Amino acid sequence: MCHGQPELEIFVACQRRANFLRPARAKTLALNLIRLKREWLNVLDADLAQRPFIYASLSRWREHADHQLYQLRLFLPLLIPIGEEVSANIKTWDNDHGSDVTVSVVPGKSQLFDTTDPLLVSGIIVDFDRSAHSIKPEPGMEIQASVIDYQIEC
Amino acid sequence: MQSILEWDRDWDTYKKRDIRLQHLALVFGCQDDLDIYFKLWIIWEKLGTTKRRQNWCKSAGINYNVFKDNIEEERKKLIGTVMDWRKAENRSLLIDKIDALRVLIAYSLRSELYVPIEQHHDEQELTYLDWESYWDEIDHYEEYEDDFDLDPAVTIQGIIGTPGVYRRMDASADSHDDTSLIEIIPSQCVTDNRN
Repeated sequence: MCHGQPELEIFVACQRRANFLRPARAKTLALNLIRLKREWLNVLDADLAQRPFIYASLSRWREHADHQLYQLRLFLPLLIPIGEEVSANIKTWDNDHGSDVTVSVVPGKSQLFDTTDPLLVSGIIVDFDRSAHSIKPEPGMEIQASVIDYQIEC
Repeated sequence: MQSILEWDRDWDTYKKRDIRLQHLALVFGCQDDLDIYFKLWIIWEKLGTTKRRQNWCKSAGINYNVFKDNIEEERKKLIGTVMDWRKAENRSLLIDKIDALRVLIAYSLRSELYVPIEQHHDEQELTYLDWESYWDEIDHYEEYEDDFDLDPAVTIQGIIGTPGVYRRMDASADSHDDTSLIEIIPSQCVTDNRN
């Protein structure tokens, strides 16, 4: 549905309209889709007592780090927009096959997160300006990088 | 969503590119429309003042009036009907609850659960509909009276390729009932050309 996301497996269609798109294969068009996981469907057979446990297992019983990662995924382009200069720490360096870095994102300044603790995201250096660095890049070295795009690891 | 994200064919190329990047930043990381609405509301809420919201809407390609009338006011009405007025309830959205909300919606709209048509055992080869067939049973499907305007170049090409056809989960695979089939449209990528 959104680019970078896997194919839709199961979803709820919250809105339906007559399909006037051409060419069309169905008379109805679905909008406002909500993606579901197959294991969540056990809620359909759950009784009144079981359902709160299912909801809790997906919310407050879940690891806080999972929620924080989810939030980071959503807001990353707003925290470090395209074109922004960031400090990156080299994880691995390979002249031929690109290089992995870690970027520390401080969410506090955006006011979108309640935490001010830095969050780490992985990055790939796609173009390295050798003239700006006199020393050979090595793992552990801090470099300045410019954000050019984002990608979600599946 | 198509009315919230602004797009104007008369904008110059620089403006179009800028707004396009802003819209892509909004949909990045979102796995469905709920994520986008969550993201939009969190930003709206954190901005706080009218002036800051208007500035953000202008720079991000969001229609301020539509957002205020269709999202903020509707939310206020909806919450107003269910909240306990004896308590000062004004809760912020929590990311922790979003998957639970998905499941709650699935439970509430169990008749609106869909799976790809290919998942059914006897895969049905769907042909494209004749033009005339769009027009019958309109009254049955048209749930909203507001205009619905799409730019197929934005909605279909380059985002999801060919739109997929899905079948209602509780419908049998050999059913020839048209009402159990739908095509999907990624509404977060839809643009409004009426402005």
